[in-house]
Amino acid sequence: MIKYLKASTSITAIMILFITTALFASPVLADQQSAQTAISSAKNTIKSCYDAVKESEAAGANVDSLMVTLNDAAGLLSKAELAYASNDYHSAYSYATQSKSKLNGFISQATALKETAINNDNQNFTIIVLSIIGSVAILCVGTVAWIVLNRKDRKNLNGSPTV
Amino acid sequence: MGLQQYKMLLLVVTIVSALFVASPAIQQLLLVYPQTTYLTEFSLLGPYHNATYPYNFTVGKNYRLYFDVENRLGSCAYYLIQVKFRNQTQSAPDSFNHTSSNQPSLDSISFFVADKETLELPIDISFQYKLGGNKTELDMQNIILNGTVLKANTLIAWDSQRKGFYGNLFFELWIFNDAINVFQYHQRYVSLWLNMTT
Repeated sequence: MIKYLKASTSITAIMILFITTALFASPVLADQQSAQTAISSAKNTIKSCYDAVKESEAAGANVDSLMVTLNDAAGLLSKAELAYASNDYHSAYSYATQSKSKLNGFISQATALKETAINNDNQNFTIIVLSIIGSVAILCVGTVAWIVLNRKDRKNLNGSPTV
Repeated sequence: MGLQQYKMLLLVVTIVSALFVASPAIQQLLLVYPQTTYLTEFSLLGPYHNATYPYNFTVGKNYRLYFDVENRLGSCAYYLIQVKFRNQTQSAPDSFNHTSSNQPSLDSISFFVADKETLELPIDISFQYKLGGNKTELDMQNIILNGTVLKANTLIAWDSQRKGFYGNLFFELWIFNDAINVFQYHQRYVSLWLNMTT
C-alpha cells in the first residue's frame, strides 16, 4: 500500500513538473511563428520610433542620444533576423524582444525633445524679431538725429546764429 | 569738434549699433548656407582607418575594416548594409545601371544616421575555406563577421592570369523608403578583391 502511494506521488510530481515546464518553457523555446511575430513587432516599433526621430529632427532637436538607442535596437533586430534565417528561432525571438524593449519610452522621449526644440525655436524667433525691431529703431533714431544735425549745419552755413 | 564731425560720429555709431543689435537675426537668417546637394557617402576603410586594405587573406586570421556612412540627405536616414560574397563569375552590383547584385545577402547590418552626421561601423572579418581535391578550386565555406558564422558555400576557381584564388567581398548600401515601407538599393557599394592564400 505504502509502495503504491509512493509510486502514485512520484507520478503526480512528474506530471506537475511536466505541465509546469510546458507552461513556462513555451516563451523561452520559441517556435517559428512566435519568432516571426516578435521580429515583425520589433520592426514596427523601430519604424514608429524612426518616424518620431524624424519629426524631432525636423523641429530642430538634437537627436544624438535617440540615435544611440535606435541603433542599439536596430543592431538587435539584425541579429534576430540573422538567427531566424539560420532557423535559430529561440535566439531570434530573444533578440527581437530585446530590440523592442530597448525602445520602451522612446517615443515619449522623442516627443519631449521635439517640444523643447519647438520652444527654443519660438524663443529664437522672438529674439530675431526683437533684434530686427531694435535695429530698425536705432537706424530711425540715427537718421532723425542726422537730419537735425544736418539742418543745424545748413543754418550755420547760412550765417544763422548757433544755439 | 564741428558739426560735420558730429554727423560722421553719429553715422558710425548708428551703423555699428544697428549691426550689433541685428546680429542674432543676421546670424540666423543670412549666415546659414542653404543645402543644395543631397547624398549619402559610403566608404570602406582598412585597419588603419585609411585606404590601405588587406589583400592576401589566410584561413582563420581576423581582419578589421571600417564602414563610414555620412548622411547628407537633409533628414535622419535608416540604412542597411547587405554583406555579399561572390566568385569571379557570379553577379556583381552594377555602377552604370545602378543595380544590386543577385547574390543572396549573407548578413545585414541596419543602422540610423542623423542628418549631417557620419557613423563609423567597425567590422571584424575572417574566413574559413579549404582547397579542393584537384587543387584548382577553393571552397569558401564560412565567413565570420563580428563573431557570427555566415555560410558562404562558394567555389572559387584558380585564376591562371593573376595566379591565385580570388573572391569578391562586397557590401551594398540600402535605404529605407518611408513611402512604401521597404528597403531599396541606394546605388552605393564598396568591394574588396581577396586573394585567398592556401
